Amino acid sequence: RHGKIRLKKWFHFFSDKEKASLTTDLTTLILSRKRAMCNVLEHGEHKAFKLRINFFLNHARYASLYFAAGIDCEENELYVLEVIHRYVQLLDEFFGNVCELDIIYNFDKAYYVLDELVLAGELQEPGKKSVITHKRI
Amino acid sequence: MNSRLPTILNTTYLTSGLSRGFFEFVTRVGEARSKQEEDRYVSQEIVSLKTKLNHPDISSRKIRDYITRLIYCEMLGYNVEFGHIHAVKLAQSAKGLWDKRIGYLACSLFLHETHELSIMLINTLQKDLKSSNYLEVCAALTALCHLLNKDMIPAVFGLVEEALSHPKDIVRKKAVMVFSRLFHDAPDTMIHLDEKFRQMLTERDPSVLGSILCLFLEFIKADPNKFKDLVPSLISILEQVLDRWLPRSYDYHGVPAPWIQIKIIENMGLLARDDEKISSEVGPLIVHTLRKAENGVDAAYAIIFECIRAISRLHPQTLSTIIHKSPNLNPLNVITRFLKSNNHNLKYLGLTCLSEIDPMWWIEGEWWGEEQMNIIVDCLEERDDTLKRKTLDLLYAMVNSQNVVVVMEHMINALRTISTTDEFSRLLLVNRIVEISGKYPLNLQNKDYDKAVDSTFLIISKSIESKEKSEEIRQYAVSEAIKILESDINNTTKNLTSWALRILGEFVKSTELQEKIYNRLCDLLTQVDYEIQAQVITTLLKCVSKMKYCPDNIIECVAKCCQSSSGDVKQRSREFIILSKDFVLLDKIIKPYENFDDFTIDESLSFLDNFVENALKNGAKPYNRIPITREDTNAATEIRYEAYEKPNMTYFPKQIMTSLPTYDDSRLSESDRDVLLPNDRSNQSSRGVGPPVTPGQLAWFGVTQEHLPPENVHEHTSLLADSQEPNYNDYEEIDSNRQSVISLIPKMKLQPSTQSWSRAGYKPVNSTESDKFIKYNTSNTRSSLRSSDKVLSIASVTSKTTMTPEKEKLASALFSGVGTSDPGQ
Repeated sequence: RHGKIRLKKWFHFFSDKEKASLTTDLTTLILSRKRAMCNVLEHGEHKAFKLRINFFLNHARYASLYFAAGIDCEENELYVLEVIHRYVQLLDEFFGNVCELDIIYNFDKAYYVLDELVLAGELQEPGKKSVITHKRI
Repeated sequence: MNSRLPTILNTTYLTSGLSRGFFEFVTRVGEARSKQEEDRYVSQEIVSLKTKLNHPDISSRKIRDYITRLIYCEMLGYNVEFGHIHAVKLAQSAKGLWDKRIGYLACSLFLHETHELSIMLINTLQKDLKSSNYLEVCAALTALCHLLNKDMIPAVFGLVEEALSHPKDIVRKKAVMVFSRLFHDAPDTMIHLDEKFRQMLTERDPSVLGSILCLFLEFIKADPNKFKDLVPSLISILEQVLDRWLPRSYDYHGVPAPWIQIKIIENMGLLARDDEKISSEVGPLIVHTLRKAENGVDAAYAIIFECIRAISRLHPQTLSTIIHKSPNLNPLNVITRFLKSNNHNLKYLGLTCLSEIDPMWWIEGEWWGEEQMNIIVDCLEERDDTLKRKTLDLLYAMVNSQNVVVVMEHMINALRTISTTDEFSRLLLVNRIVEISGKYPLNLQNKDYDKAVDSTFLIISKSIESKEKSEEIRQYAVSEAIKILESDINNTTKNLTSWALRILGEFVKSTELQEKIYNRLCDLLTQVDYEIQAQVITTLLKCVSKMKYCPDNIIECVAKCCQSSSGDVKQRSREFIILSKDFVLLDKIIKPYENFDDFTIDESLSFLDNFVENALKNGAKPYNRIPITREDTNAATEIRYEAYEKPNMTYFPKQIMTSLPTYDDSRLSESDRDVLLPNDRSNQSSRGVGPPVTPGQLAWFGVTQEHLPPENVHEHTSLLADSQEPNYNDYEEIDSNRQSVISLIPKMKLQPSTQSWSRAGYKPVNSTESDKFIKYNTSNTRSSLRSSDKVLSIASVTSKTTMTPEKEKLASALFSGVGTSDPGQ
């Protein structure tokens, strides 16, 4: 039951094998984190892109759901944390008191909201309102 | 599934707008109790979807549904390649917005930039980009961001450019994002749009502003100089944001538009790098932002982090003005607060901030002190992995010539404790360690250097698991060693040279370098002093044993060394000449490095018991331990008034505990401590080289002043000179009529951990009378790396309370040199 993926999005081109390995790595890492631990995990270097991938977990807040973002080492980690939080806020507004089931059954909509929020890997829409209005159309 | 009826009325079902089939599918998968069950369901579904999709005539609603299910399967990790083409078709043929969205979504999830099917989408994308319905344009742009590739660029470029001026801000924003993605692939195409982008900075709409800032970040990263004129506009934007001019919806937990703030600050930081004028303009504003952000929310912390990063990039002049204003106003004080907090995230933040800032600025007393160092040392032992690594990063950033040893120790420890599967961090650590040891070879005291060198040696030989990598690193080490040796030998420190020789001796493999190495080593023989000469000879011996080939000129060179005034060199060169002819023997003596683990040291030399007994039976005198003091202990209390007689032993050591009197230079050389096997009590060792040795006085202590006296002195056996110092182990071949012991200098320092290394090397060379040879092991049971007083062991901290004073010592050790001296970079 553990470790089911509800939503995933790749902003960089990875081969299928890499995707699978990253996903499994991430799941194991996440499941082994404890509450008080740091939200940032260093993972490793991706050879082709010279990215140092930091996995970014946001777990303590969202009940049983974990949100993770893989970022470059240059990136401001707390910034991404905020992006994740913003995303959850948006989902909340969109669905009205979002819970995990909502995401499961309406994952396409969750994807849309995500698309509005983060495009090409960058946060594009900091304002809550526009995202929601746009999506409700 | 007895809950079937109620599920129809289930709210989530109703709002999802999807068919019952989908809903049931998802529920079933979600409730599957095991992986196999889930597998079964999903594969069933996939199979049925395949057939359904291949139907020629399905309503768009159904297609939409199927595609959605496909997405779901893909998300769970199953292969749905057959569905990709359907997704493309859906995007193409979709009538309504909803269908189009699903189609594009599916495409952007399934396809990727190099996928063949993405080409098929070009037409659809073009059509949508031109459409009058702005939502369709948006959908197309969104998909473009994911699917953009080189082929598509010419087709859609113009249209996206038009979209930049679209009346709807959303469209503009997305267009900008497409360009930011484009910048990665084809930056040249966008040069002419420069003007347009700059103009967009003055946009009213904050969302577009945000995306433009992202775009500029990319630009600036690539080429900061071109955009330095943007600074005034950036400054004004930031000021506006801080003054809360943006609409309320952009506020986030009370912080006005944090993302925009962060982006601007990042931009400014990059622009201000190395540029004093800009730094002075931008500096105060950044500090101002930092102040405003101190209201305890997470977003605020993100801003603070970015500010500090930007500050670290400022020109040093500006930086010093900022920091020195007054301790209260010093912006870097926030770092201390971060470090002190209990929240791990904040600690992480503090550590990262610290590593960003050049240690030069950690000037004690102003905002930095022991307190922070203590916290950092604490972090070293946190269970939280990330914090540990970050602290190591930090240590690496602050290494300087004074605390380098301590830092190295920690890194090496970390290397041992990190799990072997995590190759990346191990590599990183190793790289860093090597780099550091490369930078700071000179200032170290010899003893500390030994430890450091030991560890590098250990690393080189052991730490990397995979075979090819090991090989790589060894070859690299070999080539580095060769470089060192080729450079002017007088300029290189002894330590470095000996390290290089050791590496060569152990790891040289390829036969092409053979000639080069041999020649170089021969040259070296004539240039260096006797210590290094001894090492060179042994290195030669090792090389010869590996390559099984010894050219004559080498033998000549070495033969010359037989005339050397240093006993050690003479000894070795003679051994070399003998051994280089006998490869079988050589093989047995010189064992490769990896076999170390198999060695165990028998300190009491119990294996010699038989030999000793036999000798005793044959009338040899039992071992008589020589008095340590020079004079008789009886006479010690009296004061002598007459002059002493002239000593008859020219080599009598001046100090009690020193190395062998057989050497001219009885001072201890760090690289070359010979521990001689004491011969037995009978007539001696005519090593042929040594001084006349009085019978019965055959124990040579080879210890340094700092070490404890030898531990094991067996009555029966000849003295085991137990050197506590991590040393070379020596096996002396003493050409006496009775015995010969082969002396080799393995060039290995004993390891900090409990392993004692030795080379077991013994083979009768001329076994006339005794067939046995003394197996000589020098055991170094000194197990702790941290044997010095100055540096304390932190590695095995269990409970905090017991270690606090030591930690403080460590902290001060780490801190020494930081902020005062030149970082030595």
